Amino acid sequence: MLTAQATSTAVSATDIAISLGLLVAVYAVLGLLWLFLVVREISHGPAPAPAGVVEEETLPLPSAGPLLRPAGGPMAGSGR
Amino acid sequence: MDAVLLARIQFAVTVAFHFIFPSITIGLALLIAIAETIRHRTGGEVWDRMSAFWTRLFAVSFVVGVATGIVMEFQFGTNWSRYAKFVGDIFGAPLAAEGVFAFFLESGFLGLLLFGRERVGSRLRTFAAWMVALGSTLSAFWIIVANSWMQTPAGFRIVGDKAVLTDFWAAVFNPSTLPRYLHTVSSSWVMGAFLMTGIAAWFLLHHRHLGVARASLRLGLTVAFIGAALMFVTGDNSARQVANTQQAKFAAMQGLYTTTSGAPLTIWSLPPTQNPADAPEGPAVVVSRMLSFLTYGSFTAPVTGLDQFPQDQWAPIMPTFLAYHNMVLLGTVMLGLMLFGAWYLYRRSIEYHRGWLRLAVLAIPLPMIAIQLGWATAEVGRRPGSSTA
Repeated sequence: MLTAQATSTAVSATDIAISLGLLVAVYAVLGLLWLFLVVREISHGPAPAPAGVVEEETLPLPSAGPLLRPAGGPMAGSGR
Repeated sequence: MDAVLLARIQFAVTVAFHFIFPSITIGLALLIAIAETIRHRTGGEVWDRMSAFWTRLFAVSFVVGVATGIVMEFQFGTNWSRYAKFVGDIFGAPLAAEGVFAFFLESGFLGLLLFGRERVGSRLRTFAAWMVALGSTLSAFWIIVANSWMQTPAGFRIVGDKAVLTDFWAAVFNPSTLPRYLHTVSSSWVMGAFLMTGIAAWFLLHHRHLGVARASLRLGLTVAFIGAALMFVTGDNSARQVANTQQAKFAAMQGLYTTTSGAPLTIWSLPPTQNPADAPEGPAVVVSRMLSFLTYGSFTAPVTGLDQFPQDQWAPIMPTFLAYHNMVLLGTVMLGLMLFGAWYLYRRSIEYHRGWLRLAVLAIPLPMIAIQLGWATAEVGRRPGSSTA
């Protein structure tokens, strides 16, 4: 079946153009809403560690391999 | 513009926007299930927080995915009613199966994972995470079945003005279903894994949530690397299936006008034109005879060109060629990036490579762009038929 023969005969180009415009507008809102929610979740981040549990932030960094160990790591001196 | 073109644009816009979200949820669902499994086995507190965090991001994408997906099914009735009438007997089954077997499974257990995570036992929670992963992956299967039937229809006969199902399993497992499904799912794993890796890299760059960030980076990067490699294996398989069952599309993807023995593989060239007489003469990067070898395992095998088909049955060559080649290019970039990342991770030095971490953040959209290009290759290359029946 050819695509050109598959469309609805009762729907005009104007109908489709209007609904396309509306869909784009709705999708733009949905897309922005999704982006806002995702950014908000990332900003909040994961829940903090429960009381009594040592945060990994306070533990030393994993050691670098012998070949790629830099003289001073990017977080060297940060106390972490 | 005429109604057909507008209807095409509308469906393309709907699918392209919708496709962002299932590919994220299919990928994230697997990663969350793995994180839950590690949490269950080790009791690691960080995996618990990590799973909860990614489940919230999953839920946001899931909701938007549902909202955008429903519109597509309505469009079959509004804009494509003659097609819906033609294939209704065949499309009805996979689309219903997607709702009954996959969507309900995914959404039901997602509710448990979101709202009942503190109320159920560890084992049930892990089980729920795997059911969400299974549901999202099964959901993709039934949608791919419907679309693959449009590419390589099977298990039907034409009665009057309708396609009538004669063999359900032949229709479900038509020649392109499994190759396309495996490629889509592996690409979605890469999408989810790039998202996890990129956000974890951002946390590390900003010295935030380091425990969860490190766990997320390890898991995301590992799955991204394996997934990117799998993406090439499944992509190669899918391309060979296209070469065997949709030769005109394959010729358009490769920009191959003439049937050629020992056909070269074009890595880069100026895009081909619809009219061979206008084809640009310019620099090109090609690997001699490689297309024949990759497609048929022989350096001298003939590859069918567009000259074997009437010109009015050619797909739009330039967009098909560009979509396919840019998809492969992006896949190569993604694999390369994750190869370096995997090496740094293995050397336990990844946090020192801040350049790589920045690239990982910037690379979050790459799998999505590649997925969209892959879909465009499949759909634009399928023209002019809405199915090849």
